[in-house]
Parts: sequence; C-alpha cells; structure tokens
Amino acid sequence: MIRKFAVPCTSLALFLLVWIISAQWVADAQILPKPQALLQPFWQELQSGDLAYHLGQTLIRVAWAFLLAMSIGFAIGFAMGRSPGLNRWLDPWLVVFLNLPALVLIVLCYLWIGLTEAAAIAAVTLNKIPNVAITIREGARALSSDADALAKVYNLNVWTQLRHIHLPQMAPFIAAAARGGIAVIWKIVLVVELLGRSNGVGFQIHLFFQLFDVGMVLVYAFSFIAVMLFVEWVVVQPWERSTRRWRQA
Amino acid sequence: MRVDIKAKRYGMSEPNDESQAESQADGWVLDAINFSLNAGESLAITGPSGVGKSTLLRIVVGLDTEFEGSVERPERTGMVFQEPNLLPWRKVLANLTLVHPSVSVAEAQAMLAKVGLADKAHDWPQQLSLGQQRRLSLARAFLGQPQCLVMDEPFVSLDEATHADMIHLTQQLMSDSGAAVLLVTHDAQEADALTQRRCELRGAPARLYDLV
Repeated sequence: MIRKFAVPCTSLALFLLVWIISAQWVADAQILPKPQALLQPFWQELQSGDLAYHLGQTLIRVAWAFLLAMSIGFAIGFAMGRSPGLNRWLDPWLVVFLNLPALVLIVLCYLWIGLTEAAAIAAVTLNKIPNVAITIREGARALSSDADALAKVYNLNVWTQLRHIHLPQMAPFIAAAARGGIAVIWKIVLVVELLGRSNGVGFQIHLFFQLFDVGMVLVYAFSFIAVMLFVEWVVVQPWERSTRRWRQA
Repeated sequence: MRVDIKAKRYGMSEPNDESQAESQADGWVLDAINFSLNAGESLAITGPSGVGKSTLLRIVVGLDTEFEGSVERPERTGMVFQEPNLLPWRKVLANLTLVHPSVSVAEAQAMLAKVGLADKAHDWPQQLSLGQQRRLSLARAFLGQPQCLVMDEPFVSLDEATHADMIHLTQQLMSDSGAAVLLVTHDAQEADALTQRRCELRGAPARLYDLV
C-alpha cells in the first residue's frame, strides 16, 4: 500500500522541485511564480466563492458532454461493430469527424445554435463522439461469438444480452473510451468557455490571460486538474478494477 | 422435435475430399435430413469431420438460418456446446441463473450438487478444471426442465477416467430429465452409451443413414 502511493507522491514531489528551481532561475513572478506563491490567490478565490462557482459550471458542462458523448458514441460504435453494412455507411463520416478540428466544430455550433449552453455542450459532445465510437467499435468487433451463440440458444432478451453478455466483455473498451473522454472533454470545454461563455474555468483563464496574471491562470488550471484526478482515482479506476475482478481469478 | 431440411451453406469446417468440395460448389451440403424425436427418445449422429454435423446442429438450435425445410423445436431447448462456453465474468451459480431466469437459486444449487459442484457455486469458472467446467456446462443444459437437449461433441479433450465419469453423469441426468436428446459425436461407443439410436451422416451432399 505504501509503495502504491510512494511512487506517485515522489513523482509529484520531483515535479514541484523542478518547478521551484525553474521559478528561481526565471526570477520573475509574473512569468512563473513559485508554487507557494499560489496559495494566497488560491485561498482568496476559494473564500470569495469564485473558484467553486466557476469549477462547478465547468464540471456541469463536462458531465453533460461526457454523458452524451459516451451514450451516443457507444450506440454508434456498438452498431457499427456489430453490423458490417452499417459500418460501411458510417465509416467515412467517422473519419471526417475524427479529422475535423475541434475549433471548427465549436465555431460552427456557436454560429448555428447561438452563444448558448446547448451550443457549448453540443460542440464538446460532437468533438468527442467519434473517439468514443471508434474505441467501442473495436470492442464490439471483438465480442465472443460463442457467448452470442449461448444467448441465442437460450433466447436471452436484448437487454439481458447487452447487460450480462456484451457489456462485461466491452468493459476495458468502455473504460478506455471514458478515460480518454474525460481527458479530452475537459480540455475542449475550456476552449468552448473561452470562446463563448461568461463563466467556467475557461472563461476565468481567458480573463486572467488578458490581465497577464499567470498565478491565477495556474490556480484555476491546477484546481481543475485536481478535480479531474479525483474523478480518475475515485470513480474511473475503482470501476475499472471492479470490472476486471474476474480476469484476476 | 421434428427436423426436415436441406442446407446449402457449408459449416465451419473445410471439405474433406473432392466429392464434398464438388457438393459445396453445387451448393447443397445437407440433403433430405429428416428425423423426429419425442420426449425420452435419444439419437446420436456420427460422421467424418467436415461432413456437416455442426451445420446440422446449428440449424437445429436456430443458430443457422440458411436452409430449406422446417425445424420444429420445443420452447425449452438446452445445448451442451463442444467447449464448455461458460461466461468467465459470472460466477458458477450466476452462469446457471442467467440463462434460466425462471429457475430459483435453490434449484440451481440443487443441480450443482447433482453434478458434484455444490461447493463451487461462488467460484469463477476459470478456477474450475476442464472436467468441472464440462460438468457445469451439463448442469446449465439440464437445468430448467428442458424438453429437448442438443449436445455437440460434449466430452472432447477429456482424459479416459473423466470421460467415463461424464458419460455416467450424463446418463443419470438424461434419465432424470426425460428430454429428447440429440447428440453429435465422433465416438461410436459414446453414442451407444448415451443414446437409443445412432445414425451416420455421410456422402456429398450428406444424408442420414440409420445404423442402430
């Protein structure tokens, strides 16, 4: 247990050390403040409630976009993996959307839908769906035909097949899509907020960029990274471990 | 169960000889296959590799739909696959209850006891030996009072002693259940030990010939 935490903690400590040495070397707090110099502005933002408010707004967008992208991406990827005919129809579009720059989709969503919450979430969702679909498609292609035969012989209904036959086999692919999804979505959410919202971490970072306040940019960035690490360690990794229990038997 | 079919598609195995290859080219693999099985009756089908035994079984259980004719299959049909075909992400007991939702946990546990796996109910399938996995596969097929049972070479790759045990266990389960049983096997002794009647599938396209 100690070893499990020792390595990541040492790694973080080394990062802090490099940061402190770099800040000492740069010797300009406006460009790169020392880590301890961020504590005061962090506390100030925390006490004023601004940090919690903007983090909350961003997290709501991340949650919506994640849920939508995972659901729609799963449905599309699963259908494409199970049906070669549908795959032939949709594959070119998957390639198109995979290669469409995120910025283009964000700008188009804001232009077509307006500077609204729906447009922001739609832009992030559309950016992530192809990645989820392509990962899930590979999972669906790898499903066991023996398990399918079992389900057919015993007339298992569609819901039972999905829940007890397909999803357990696809868990590693879903976890990979989810992990990649969260990482990409929160980065795109910040861009979406920077371009067209009046709150959220992206909006705050843009604001402090204009004020050339590197300290506050780092405060917001690290606060959000901390939240996402919390989600990864407390939600994603335990869930992934629980789906892998049978492999370790 | 009543089967009256001819089938075009070749099964999963390659043709053995030129006549089989020609028949495949002509399109027909199984021709004029007809038999019926009532409750308590059993039939074994033997035949060389690649003749179409697996294709016939897949048609009988509804896994293959490319055939002409008709298959009347009882509603409750169980199957023992060539491999145990267990779901490794579900524990032993859960493997039974998933495919038999109407069966109670107590009934499933009683069936596990019958096949000698009472103490393995909460183990993962991969913790069982191959012989135990095959017992579990039998338990799954015989649970839920099936009206018809289809067995596809169910005891391949077992050592002699385990094979004999499995034959004995299957005989017991068959006599308890009273289901109609269709067995496909390479092993004539196994066929004679388990079933009342034996047919051979041979020729190109393959036809059924009564042996016993």
